[in-house]
Amino acid sequence: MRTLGLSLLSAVLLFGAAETWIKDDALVSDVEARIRKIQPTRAEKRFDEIGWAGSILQAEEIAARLNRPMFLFTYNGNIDTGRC
Amino acid sequence: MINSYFVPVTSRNEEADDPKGNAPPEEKKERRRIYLEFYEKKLGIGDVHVYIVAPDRSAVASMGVVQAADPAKLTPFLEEVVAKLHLKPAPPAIKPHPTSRPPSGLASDSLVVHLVSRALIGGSWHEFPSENWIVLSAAEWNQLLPPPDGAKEPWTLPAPVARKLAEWVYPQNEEKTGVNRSRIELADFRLTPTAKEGTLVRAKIAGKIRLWHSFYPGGQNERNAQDIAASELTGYLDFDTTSRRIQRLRVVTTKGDYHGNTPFATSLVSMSRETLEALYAPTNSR
Repeated sequence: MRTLGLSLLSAVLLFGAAETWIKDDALVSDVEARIRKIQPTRAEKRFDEIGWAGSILQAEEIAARLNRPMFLFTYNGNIDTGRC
Repeated sequence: MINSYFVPVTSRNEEADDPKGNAPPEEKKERRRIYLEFYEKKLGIGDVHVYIVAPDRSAVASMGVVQAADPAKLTPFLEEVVAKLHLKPAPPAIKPHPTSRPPSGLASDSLVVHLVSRALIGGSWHEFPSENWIVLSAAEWNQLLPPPDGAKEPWTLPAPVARKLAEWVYPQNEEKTGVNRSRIELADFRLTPTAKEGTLVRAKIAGKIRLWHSFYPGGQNERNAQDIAASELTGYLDFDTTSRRIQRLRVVTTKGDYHGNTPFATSLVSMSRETLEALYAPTNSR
């Protein structure tokens, strides 16, 4: 019994008390369904399937090391968020 | 193909080409050098443009965005470069990662809200949704909560935080800076408690927003009748009345119209710590 108590105490200390949430209701279901329809689709995020370097200088350093050319795309605005 | 044969990189004109841009001087200098070499070698230049630069930093070939946006044109262009430079395919030089992310280095008690806004009709500017990352400081997100002991009665969000949530609620249009230029006429968010379990409360959100936002930058000093983004919103806020901690903030439009002819939808979703950490997982280069 003492061993079981110590085990349970250890589990709580290790993992922390589980967070409690209010049960989802019709409002939550409706709001979440509306939100899901707006989120970017996988097709719309294909830009993220490319491994973009953080800067021209970084890209050139990697390009020289791997003996690969650099694909540089210049643009206006914020292409990552679509506000461009 | 871009991952397999090239080292891809983007360069924002406002950062790296503008003298007032905040890119480091060395970055700006190298960007300028590339541009001038392509110009001198008559290989093509442009503001929104693809430049192929060899590993020794010499100019190879370029393509304007109108053509580059067409796979039927970009693919043979890249294949020609691959053949010319005798390239071999390899894994990506840099691990692909989300490019739309909140600012880094945030205070640990910030609340980050991810906004997505999209036009609901097709056409130019409507191909992709827009995103924003709204960061609320502890002082700001505390304004979302009712006064202590006030979680039984409806309340309204104070103007400063209401405006911060409202100012990006419009679909994609032309933007060059990350600075919001909307003129808010109405940002009304009313919260009504609807559920309680122990110390946890859920409040329904009903919102109305009306703001002026010119489609193109530079028009913000005018108030053209068509530049109105009007929306009605619903949502909920789950919070703990004892710890005064927000568990979930969700807001979404039920109606949205821009310019009188562009229906749109916008969502605002608070991010958990786990999601934020995943967005900034390491992206090591080879």
